[in-house]
Amino acid sequence: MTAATEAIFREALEITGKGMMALFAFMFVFFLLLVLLDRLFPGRNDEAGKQIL
Amino acid sequence: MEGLFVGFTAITWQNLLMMAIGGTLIYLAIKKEYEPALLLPIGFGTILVNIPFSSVLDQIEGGQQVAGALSYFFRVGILTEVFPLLIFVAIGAMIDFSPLFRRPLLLLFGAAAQFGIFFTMTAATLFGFDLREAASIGIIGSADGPTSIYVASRFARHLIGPISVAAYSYMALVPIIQPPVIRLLTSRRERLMRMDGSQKPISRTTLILFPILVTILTGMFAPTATALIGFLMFGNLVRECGVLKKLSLAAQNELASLVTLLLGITIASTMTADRFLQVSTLFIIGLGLCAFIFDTAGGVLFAKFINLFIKRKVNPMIGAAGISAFPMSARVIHKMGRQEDSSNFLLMHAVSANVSGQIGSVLAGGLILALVK
Repeated sequence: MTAATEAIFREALEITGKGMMALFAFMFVFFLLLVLLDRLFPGRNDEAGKQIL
Repeated sequence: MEGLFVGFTAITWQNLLMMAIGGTLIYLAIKKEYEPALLLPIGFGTILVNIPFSSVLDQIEGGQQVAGALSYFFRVGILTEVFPLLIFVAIGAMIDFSPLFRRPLLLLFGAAAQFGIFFTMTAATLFGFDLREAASIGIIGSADGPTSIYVASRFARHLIGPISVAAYSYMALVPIIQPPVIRLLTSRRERLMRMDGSQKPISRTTLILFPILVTILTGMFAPTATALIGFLMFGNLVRECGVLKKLSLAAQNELASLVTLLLGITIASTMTADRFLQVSTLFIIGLGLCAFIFDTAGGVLFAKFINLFIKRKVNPMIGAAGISAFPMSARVIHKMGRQEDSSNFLLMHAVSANVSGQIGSVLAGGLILALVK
C-alpha cells in the first residue's frame, strides 16, 4: 500500500466512524421524536387510524 | 450516399459490446422483471448512445455544437439534482410511517443496515479510488437509486453510469443476495423467533408533525442533507395532510413513473463505451455487491446485539430489512420467516425496519456529502 493510499484509507476509516455514529445519533433523536409525538398526541380508536399495509 | 453509411463505418467493437449490455439490461427488465422501470430505459438508452454520431448526445456539426436530447436532460435533470429529488417526493408520498410508531425501536435498524455504505467506501480506497469516488461507490449500499445518483452527481459524475446500473441491479437482486447472508449469521432458533404486534391507532397530528420535525432537525444538524430528507418528507406530508389526496396520488403514480422514465434514460447518456468499458466498472460492480452484503450483515448483527439488552426480543432477520429496498427486503424477511414456521408473520415488523431504512439511506447520503470533502 502506498503512502497516499494509506492516507486516503485512514481518512475513509475516520469518516466511517463519524458517519455511523452520526447516523445512530440521528436515528436515536428520531426515535425519541416518535415516542414523544405518540405520547403528546395519542391516537384514538374512533380517529381514522392508519392500517398497516 | 457516403453519409448514409457513416454509422456502419464508424462503429467499433466497444459500441457493439455496449449495445449487447443494453440488450442484456432490457432482457433482465422484461424477462426477469428486475427493476423494469429503470433497467429498461437504461438498457434502451445504452443502445441509443452507442450508435456512432447519435443525435441524442451533443455532437459537433460544421464546427458548431449541436445539443443532444439526452445530454440536455443530463444537464438539467441530473447535474442540477432535480430528477433524484423529484423521485424523493414520489417515494415520500408512498411511505407510511405509522408502523414505526408502533415499534419505534426498529428505527435504529435503519442506521445499522447502512454499514455496507461505509465499509465499501473504505474498501474502495484500497482499489485506488480517491475518497470522493469511493464515497460514490459506497453509497450503492444505500439500496436507494436516487440517493446513489444524487451523491455520484456531486462527487463522481464520470461514474454515474456504472453506479446506477449496480445500484438498481442489486436492488432487484435483494431476494437472491440477502437470504444466504442471513442464514450464515443466524441459527434456526433465531429465525423461528416470534414478535408480538400492536395495532394501536396513530393520530393524524402525529403523522403530520413527524415529517416536518424530522426535516427541521436534520436540516439544523446536517444542512447538506436538507434537500434529500426535505423532499422525501415533503412527499410524505402531502400524503399525510389529508387535504391533498389528488396530489398525493399523482406523486405516487404519475410523478414517480414519469421521472423514473426520464431518470433511467438520462442515466444511459453516461453509458458510452469510452466511459463504461473500464476496469473501474468491474470494481464498482464487485464493490456494490459487497455493500449489499455488509448492509445485511450490519442489520442482522445489530439485532443480535440489541437483543442482549431488551425484553421484547427482535427476530434478527428483521435487522436485514433495515436497508432501503422497499418493500422487497420486507417481503424477503417475511418469506424466510414463513419458510421456517408457516404461522410466523414478520411482515409488519419487517416493513417498519424497511421504512426506517428509507430514512436511514437518505440520511447516510446527506452525511456522506457532509463528511467527505
